[in-house]
Amino acid sequence: VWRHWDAEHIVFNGKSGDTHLLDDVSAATLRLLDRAMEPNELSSALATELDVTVDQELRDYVDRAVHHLYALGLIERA
Amino acid sequence: VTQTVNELALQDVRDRLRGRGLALRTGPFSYRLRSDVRGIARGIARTYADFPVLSDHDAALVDYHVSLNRLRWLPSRCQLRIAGDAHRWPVARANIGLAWLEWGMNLCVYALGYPELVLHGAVVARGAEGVLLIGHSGSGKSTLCAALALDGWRLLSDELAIISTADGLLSGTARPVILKDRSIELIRQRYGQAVFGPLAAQTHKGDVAHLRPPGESVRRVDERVPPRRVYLVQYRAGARLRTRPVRKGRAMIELAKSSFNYGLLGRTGFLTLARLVDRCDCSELVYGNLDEALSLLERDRCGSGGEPGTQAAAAQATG
Repeated sequence: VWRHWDAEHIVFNGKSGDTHLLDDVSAATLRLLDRAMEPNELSSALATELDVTVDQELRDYVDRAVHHLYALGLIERA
Repeated sequence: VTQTVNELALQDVRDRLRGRGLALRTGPFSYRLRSDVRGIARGIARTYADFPVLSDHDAALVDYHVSLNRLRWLPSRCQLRIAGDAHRWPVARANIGLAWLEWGMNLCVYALGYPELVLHGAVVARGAEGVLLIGHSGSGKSTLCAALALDGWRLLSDELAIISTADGLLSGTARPVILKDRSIELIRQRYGQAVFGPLAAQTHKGDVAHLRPPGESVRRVDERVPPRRVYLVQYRAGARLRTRPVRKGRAMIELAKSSFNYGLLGRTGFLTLARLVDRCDCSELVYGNLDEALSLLERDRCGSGGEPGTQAAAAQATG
């Protein structure tokens, strides 16, 4: 379950019962991961969504975001 | 006709506490209190004067049973028990018994579950405008709450803010306000009409005294209010008044942390809290001077135009 206020996104994880406050990029990453994606595919989709170009910095950010979301239990390995 | 505590003779209060129990209603909760500790009857008679006493018929189905009795082998100490023997608190000095009993009454709600969302916070109201004061122990929340209640705001709660999961309205118990240390004298000197229970000295939270809630607040305890403002309160000695808006995402996290049963309620807790945040303007309030803080709350109230939530950022929910 989500709630959005401007650039803040609150997500409730029904499995853990935890609530998380996410920034724009993490929230977009989580939304895109609603379906399974390869890392490059995810970076491209995110770049399109955020209207930025794909570069190494973005790839690194996405990598960190994915690990963070995984650690929070918000995503699982496919 | 409902009888109130102040209509009972002190000896009657004492006899009930030592016998079948004194059954009280405090908003949505009813309690059966038992105690043989000296001074408890007088303390309850002072601080719960306007609260309804349940008839024997109604008292058969109270929500919570709380007892505070002296240890037979060490009468200067007392033991708090909740729900028979289900929960025991550490043994306490009998001369801080009333404070112990009060915390036990709170513990009932925290520990034994309740279907509405409960926050550790104060709720006051002016008209149909509910204000939540959130803060840790020692944050100055209760001092502010006591002053507002004695200034004519309606006290809904000092400790247990109840948010309906069905319609989001706020309610409380209107129980006595717990004041600590210098706040006791501050409120006593400022408000000649303030009535306190006995001082519980040197508890684990310092010196503690309970302020009798205004009678009108007790009588109107069942009138719920829509939430309008949330203040995250912090008292700092000598600090200048400071207030600033808190983003709704952060406010939601802070409120969730202050809840006793948010996690237990799961998705319902999330949706209830999100709706509260939607409807409220949320601010940090740092104060070092009570007058300044009171003026600010009054100013905010007078300055609030339009419907609740009109200053809020556009919010949407999915899922």
